[in-house]
Amino acid sequence: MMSLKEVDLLSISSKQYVYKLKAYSTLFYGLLLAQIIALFFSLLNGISYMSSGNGELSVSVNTYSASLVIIFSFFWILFAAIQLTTKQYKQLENPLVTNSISRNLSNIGFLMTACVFGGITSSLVGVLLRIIMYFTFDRSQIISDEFILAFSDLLLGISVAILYMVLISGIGYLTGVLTKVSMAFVIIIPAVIIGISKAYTDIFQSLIKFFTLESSLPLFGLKVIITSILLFGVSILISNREEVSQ
Amino acid sequence: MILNTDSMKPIYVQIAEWLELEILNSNIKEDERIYSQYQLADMFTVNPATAAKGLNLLADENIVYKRRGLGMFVSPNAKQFILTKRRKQILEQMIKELVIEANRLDVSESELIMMIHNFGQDDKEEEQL
Amino acid sequence: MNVIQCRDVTKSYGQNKALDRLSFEIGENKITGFIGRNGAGKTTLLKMIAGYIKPTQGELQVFSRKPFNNLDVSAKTIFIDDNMTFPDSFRLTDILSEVASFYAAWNSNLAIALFNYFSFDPNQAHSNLSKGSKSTFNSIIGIASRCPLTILDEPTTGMDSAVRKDFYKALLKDYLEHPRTILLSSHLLSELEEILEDILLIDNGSKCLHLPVMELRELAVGIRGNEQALLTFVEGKELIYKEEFAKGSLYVVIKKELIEQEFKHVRQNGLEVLPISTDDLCVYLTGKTGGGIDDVFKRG
Repeated sequence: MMSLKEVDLLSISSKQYVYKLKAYSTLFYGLLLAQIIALFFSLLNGISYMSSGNGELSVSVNTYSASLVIIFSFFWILFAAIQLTTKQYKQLENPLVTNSISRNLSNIGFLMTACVFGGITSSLVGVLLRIIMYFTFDRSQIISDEFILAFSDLLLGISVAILYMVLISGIGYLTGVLTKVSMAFVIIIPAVIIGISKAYTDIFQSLIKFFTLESSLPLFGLKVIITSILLFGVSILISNREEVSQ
Repeated sequence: MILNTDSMKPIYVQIAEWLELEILNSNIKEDERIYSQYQLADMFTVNPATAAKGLNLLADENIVYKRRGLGMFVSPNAKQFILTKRRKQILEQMIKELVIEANRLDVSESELIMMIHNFGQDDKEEEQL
Repeated sequence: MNVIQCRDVTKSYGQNKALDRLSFEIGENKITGFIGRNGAGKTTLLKMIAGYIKPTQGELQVFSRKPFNNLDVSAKTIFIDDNMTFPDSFRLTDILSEVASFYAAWNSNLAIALFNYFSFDPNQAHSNLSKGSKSTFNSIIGIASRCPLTILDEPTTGMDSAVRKDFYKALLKDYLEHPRTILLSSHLLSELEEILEDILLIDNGSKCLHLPVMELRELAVGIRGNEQALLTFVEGKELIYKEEFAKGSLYVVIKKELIEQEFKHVRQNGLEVLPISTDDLCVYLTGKTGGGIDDVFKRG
């Protein structure tokens, strides 16, 4: 009757991962909705508008960009990562076989899937924006060298978007875990970030440049992966001793 | 099966008494296997430990006996034993209470006997109908 | 073999002690009732056994391991209460099939048979169920999981009496076929005492009694009668409960063993012996110092 076989952490974590993929499917609909809204805004106004004239001749230029879609996706993954650490989401696991490590592993697995999904869709929505513009505007008025996207560029865009989302999810997850330890972190974290950015401008900027100015994809990937492992690792360590609240 | 949970009698005693009735009515014959504690637990919706205590009550009085690995069986003289035991214990106790109550209500001995007699008659008539 | 071993376990929340130096052992394949008043610490204790929270002091072992954050213990344990939540994206039948994959001994046929018997709508969402239906549904998970340690915290909350009876019957029937260690908590002993083997009575975070239910039933008696006669009779003996129910008349509850010798004389003294329900006994045993609700009104 009683199985003496020890339970395998990885098999339990992967069961939880599958459970969460099905359970949190609504989060993905939320992403698609955010992307469509972003697309709508992009089409409506463009990112910037420039107009000049001297009475006889007037020029007006609209710049369209898919960056709003990416930004919305980044906010979504930040929100999703924080959500996973909330009481409401943790409670969903109570009826299952679980411990702190399996919970964190399955959460990380879920977030990685969300990043891949988010990275791909946000890049594809960018392509969609170009296609819509191509058919709705007078083609002669489109000035862009990069209008037609090379497939390799699309892949690069997807990879970079995914990596940024991984990084953001790590930051969001750690933030969520810290706020569970103490609500004070809700104030401390933004205060520290703003504080550093004002007082130690060089450090803060070099930190940003560390990621943004990296021109080699493999190196950028390596930086992101190592940073994320640190972020998630610290999250696991912090949440390991925490009790399950109801 | 419904047990009287308000009764002062513990459940296991009620189970033992029910089993005795089954033996008296020859629903379970001598040297036949009696219900197991698990069957009784299921029938009466009680914990098997409670049912086991009911069976042990019968075993203590040798109404049933254990056969290793086979369960409990009704002893050869069980029916006779229960009959004498009940006459002695239950009936005598009932009569005792009857007499006390009769005295309290000023019912004389002959009146009481008359009442018992009439009650028996009524019963017989009902059976005939 | 003991499934649960609890030694001097204390759980504090700040200054407040939810559990205070609790020690007990629970053997394999027994049905034990955790009884106590609201706030006595039943839920805290059960959650600790299930590994949700850890003891502040003392040692707790479940299947010879510390249950907190332990995956092996979690795999052998299921904890059912009315706070269980499931994703809104799951229909009721989805929940049954999803949860099933986590528990080795899960029986789908039983789960579905019970699900149909209690006439659930397969397409309904768990969060839309009424309180009683939620309890019933959660209990189905508890029974069908067939976990070696099944913990049901106030499982009958909101159930009507017909469903309660069916639930206890279903639990017992499945237990008889597949014995396992079951912990049931309730503030009402009477509804479940028949299916229990042992009872653990908790008062204010401490153990009050831990004994077979059959012994609890014969632990004490009530005696009623003339105040003078009764007081002389019980003089120098510890009383569980004392109440003046009419002028000059007294009602006391006393342990049977204390009056075993004098028992025959009770009636001769014009005193009346009354059976006492286990429910009342538990209330008296966990009562605050002396008197009852009547005293509150007497003062006015």
